[in-house]
Amino acid sequence: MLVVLLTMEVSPVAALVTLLMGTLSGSLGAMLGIGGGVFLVPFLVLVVGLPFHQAAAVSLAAVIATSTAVSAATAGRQLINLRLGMVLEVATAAGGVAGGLTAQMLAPQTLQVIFALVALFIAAVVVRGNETAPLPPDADVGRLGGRFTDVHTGQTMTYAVRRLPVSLAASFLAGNLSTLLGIGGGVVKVPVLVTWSGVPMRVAAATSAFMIGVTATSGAVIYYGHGEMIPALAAAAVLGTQMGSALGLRAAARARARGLRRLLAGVLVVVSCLMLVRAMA
Amino acid sequence: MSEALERRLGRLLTVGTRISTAVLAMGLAATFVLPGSHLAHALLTVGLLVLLLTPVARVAVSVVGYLGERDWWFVLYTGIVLVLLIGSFVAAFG
Repeated sequence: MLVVLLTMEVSPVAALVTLLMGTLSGSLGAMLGIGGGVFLVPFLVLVVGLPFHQAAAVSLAAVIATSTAVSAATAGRQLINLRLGMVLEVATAAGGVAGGLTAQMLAPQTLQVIFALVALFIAAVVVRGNETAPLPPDADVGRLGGRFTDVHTGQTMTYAVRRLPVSLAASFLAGNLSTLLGIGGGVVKVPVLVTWSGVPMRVAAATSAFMIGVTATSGAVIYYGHGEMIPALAAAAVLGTQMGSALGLRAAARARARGLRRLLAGVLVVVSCLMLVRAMA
Repeated sequence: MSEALERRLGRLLTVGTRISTAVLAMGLAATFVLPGSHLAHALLTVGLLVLLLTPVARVAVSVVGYLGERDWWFVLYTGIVLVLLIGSFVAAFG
């Protein structure tokens, strides 16, 4: 393992490895429509040898950059439900702050166990993937619902936002896990928005990505203040994930195989086991 | 209104991403060309701060947008988020 000293002296090798891990995580994430933090954190812990809090901090920096870049690209294409995002953001930001305060009290081992369990849950979500039926075109969409036209199918989907409290609760949990574990938390929000609140998949993903920048910022700032953010590695992770998500989006446009989802779910199960083993060691 | 706000936020996010990525890239390069230098440290710090302040600016612009619309509920929602974000900055660095 390329142990990085806590003196913040970063070796070129550690930075290069972080850059490559960021590229890999970013491209895997983009292919699956997730941020990739769930891959980056275990890479940083298991390969670079960072303590969990530092790995989470570096990953959050990359998560903010990915969310910001993705939202910059999707803004104005009617994919982001701005009003829904602004409402749910209250819950994700509160969850993020709560997570930042509790993360400092939890032992790295505890965080690794939580991470392993969340990674298993994400693997299950990645394999499944589902969608609710759209409403008739003239339906009342309420204050938060909307319409969006899928550019691939040319179909216009009309949707209302149902069971808002469920999505608010999921957003709080997502914000909490985001800061605790250094991930974006979209994998918690998106399935709930789609399954329980009836939001179309692509809108749910774009709206979630839009919120993540804010969610991850409260967490990243708290880690930064505790001296757990290693700037050079954060820079390497940001650059890596930016390149990786551009690559991944291109690859995803070419092939959207079911096999890929299964393969990556398998990777997550392996990652989860490794984190558990490390926590027990 | 909503679409105009969304485009404005999109432009803000584009500018924030480009500046932070460029400054962080220079900072990372400086770390290895001039290890331990003030320049490297300053570039990395500025890059990270731009990265962290971009979402904050996005929320601030939203608050102002909804204020202009007199959409008080959304002023409240975005206002709470802004207070939480500023609060974490104050708690971390204050």
